[in-house]
Amino acid sequence: MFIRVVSVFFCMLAACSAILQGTIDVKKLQGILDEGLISKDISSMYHSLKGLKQIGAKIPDVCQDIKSAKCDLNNIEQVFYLTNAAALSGCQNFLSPDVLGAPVRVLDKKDASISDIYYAVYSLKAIGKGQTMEKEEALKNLIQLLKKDDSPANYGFVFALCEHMGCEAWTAQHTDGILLSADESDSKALHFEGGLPVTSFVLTTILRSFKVLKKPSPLSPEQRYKFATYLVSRRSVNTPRGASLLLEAAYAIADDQPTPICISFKDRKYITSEMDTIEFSVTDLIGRAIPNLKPEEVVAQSGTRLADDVVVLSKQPLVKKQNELTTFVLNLSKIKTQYGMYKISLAAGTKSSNFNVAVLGEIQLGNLEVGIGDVDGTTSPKVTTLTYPNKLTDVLQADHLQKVSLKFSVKDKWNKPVSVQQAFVRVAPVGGEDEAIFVAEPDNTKAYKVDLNVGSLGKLVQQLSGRYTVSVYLGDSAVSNPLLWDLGEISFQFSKDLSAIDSAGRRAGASAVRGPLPEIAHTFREPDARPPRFVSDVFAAACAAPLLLLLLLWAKIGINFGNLPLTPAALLFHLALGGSLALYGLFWLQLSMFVTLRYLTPLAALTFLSGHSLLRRLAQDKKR
Amino acid sequence: MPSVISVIPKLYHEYTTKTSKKLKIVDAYLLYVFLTGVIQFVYCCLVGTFPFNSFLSGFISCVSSFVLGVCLRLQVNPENKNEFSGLSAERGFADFIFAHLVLHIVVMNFIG
Repeated sequence: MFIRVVSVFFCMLAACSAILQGTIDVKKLQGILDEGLISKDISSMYHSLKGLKQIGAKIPDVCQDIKSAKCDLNNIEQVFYLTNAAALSGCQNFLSPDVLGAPVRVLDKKDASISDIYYAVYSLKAIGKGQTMEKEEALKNLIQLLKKDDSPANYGFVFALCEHMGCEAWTAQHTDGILLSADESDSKALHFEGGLPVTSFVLTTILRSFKVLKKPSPLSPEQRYKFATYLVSRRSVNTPRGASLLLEAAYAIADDQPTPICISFKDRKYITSEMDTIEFSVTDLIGRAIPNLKPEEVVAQSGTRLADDVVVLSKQPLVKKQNELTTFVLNLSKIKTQYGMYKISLAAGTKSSNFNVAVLGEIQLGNLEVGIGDVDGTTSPKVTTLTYPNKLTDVLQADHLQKVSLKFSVKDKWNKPVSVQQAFVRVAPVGGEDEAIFVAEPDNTKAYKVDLNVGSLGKLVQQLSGRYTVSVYLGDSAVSNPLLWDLGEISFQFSKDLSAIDSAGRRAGASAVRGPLPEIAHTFREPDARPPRFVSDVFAAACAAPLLLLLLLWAKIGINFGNLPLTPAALLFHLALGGSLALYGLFWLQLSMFVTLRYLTPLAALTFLSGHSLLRRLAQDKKR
Repeated sequence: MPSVISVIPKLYHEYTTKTSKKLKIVDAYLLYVFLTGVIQFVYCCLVGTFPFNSFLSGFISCVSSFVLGVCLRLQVNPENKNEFSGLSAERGFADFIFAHLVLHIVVMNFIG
């Protein structure tokens, strides 16, 4: 409950006091409807006829078209379109009696859906065979069906059937529930599940029913505004069906008082010093004048400059234009001197909304100074002064040890210095494609200055010495005369540094030639410096020395070969083992692993067999 | 401290008298392998490890040979008979030869 109260409170602050910033363009939709009339599709024709009837346009004679339109007489929806199109255009006599078949069958069926019942009843009504239904009984059955599927669309169909049967009171009972079940998007717009068709159908049916009952509208101002917002958001429909649905709903909402107010720019959204007024159209949803709105109630509550939030106007009434009911003029001559974006809060009655307005100003350039001096500032620069839009009379010279500084100030129409959003200096070779663009930054006194260091400029234009054109660009979203000033030519002499030229050349080459990159070859690590030959030799000898020690020790211990049996196995084993080790030596020096393994396999087998027999014999000898 | 010094000749005496000739041969081999490894390491410290794979293969060859030698000595030692019951000294020697053959083909592959 509390949340509800709070949300209502917020709505009063925000949404309820809002104004729509757009209307439904009836003229445009009428064009879509006119096209729908000449299509051979019965659904488009029906919707076109319905929409045209809604806006009160003249309906041409389409009886022959309806007669020849393709229509599946077993499809109850198509029969509905056919019969109602005929009824809207007064061509019932052109229909064949076969159209009665489908509706009658649907009504005889036990399990017909609500939509089919609606189509069947209204098809019959259209050809003058409206049935007198048992009101209580029929409503009971429909409520049973609704229990199965209580979507907003089905409620809409039942409401429509109630119109036919005369049970609008039931509609009034259930209206609040249905309106509460509408989906809210972005807390700005309301619509029913199913989009524009369902929203339009349910809204128009409810509002019609309430009119019949002579009850006040069930929509709260907030709901009306939110439904209207949804309709405005769907104004780009491009089918006859969409156009007709949109028009129906828009008329229903607009006729529901108090109608939502729409304010939009009449044509332009900006003022200049010559045209210092802006025209707004204040209308209802479909572009009609708002009843009961006094002209003095349309007021510009406040206006602030977006750049610095300074309030520039408050409570300035708009003037109603002569002979035009919906056009109101806001005079902004007070703020035309300072260009920029402004936020204007417009109020109509108790509601208000914000609009962004641009005040376009004109800028002009004062004098521009071109100074050429040394980078280190040892000598005072040579200054040439130019006035817009003159050019340099002769080509200035600058080399890579110098810098070129440009100084200028931007002024508005009243000679007051201003800053602009975009200020650039462009340097480009005469007749070339390269360019270098520099941003000019204003200082505290709004004077712009750019320093072009010729040495670093060279890197941007590939060190190509020669004549360059220099131009100044000035622009701003609120400036009506952006400037391009071609200053003339400066001849730059870049350094002839070999590496710089080389890199520039390579870059140019790389960008010019397209194709596969050179193949990447693996480069091995560069070998470290080896020690001197002498050191290596000493250590080689040192590594071999323990071998000598080993032999000495073995000799001292008294090694002997007394245990060596003189058998072929012993000989073979030692030969094969020695052969394997020799093969390792060869493997190190020249052989590959595969070749080595091929040789090693028989050798290893031989070593294994002979070693096995030799050692077994030794072991047996020991046992004995 | 003097007791420690006096122990050393006694230890040496025990070793020369009580250790079998076969074990002494293996010990001499182990000393040889150990010294070779140390010299390689000294070279690497003094001159540098380049080429690193050669140094590694030489050094690893020494370390592995030493380990294999120690294994052989353990198996051959008659005092360890209980632990290696069923494994004769000849079987130990055959394993030693086999392990060496496998080790050195890897070393040769790696030496570059």
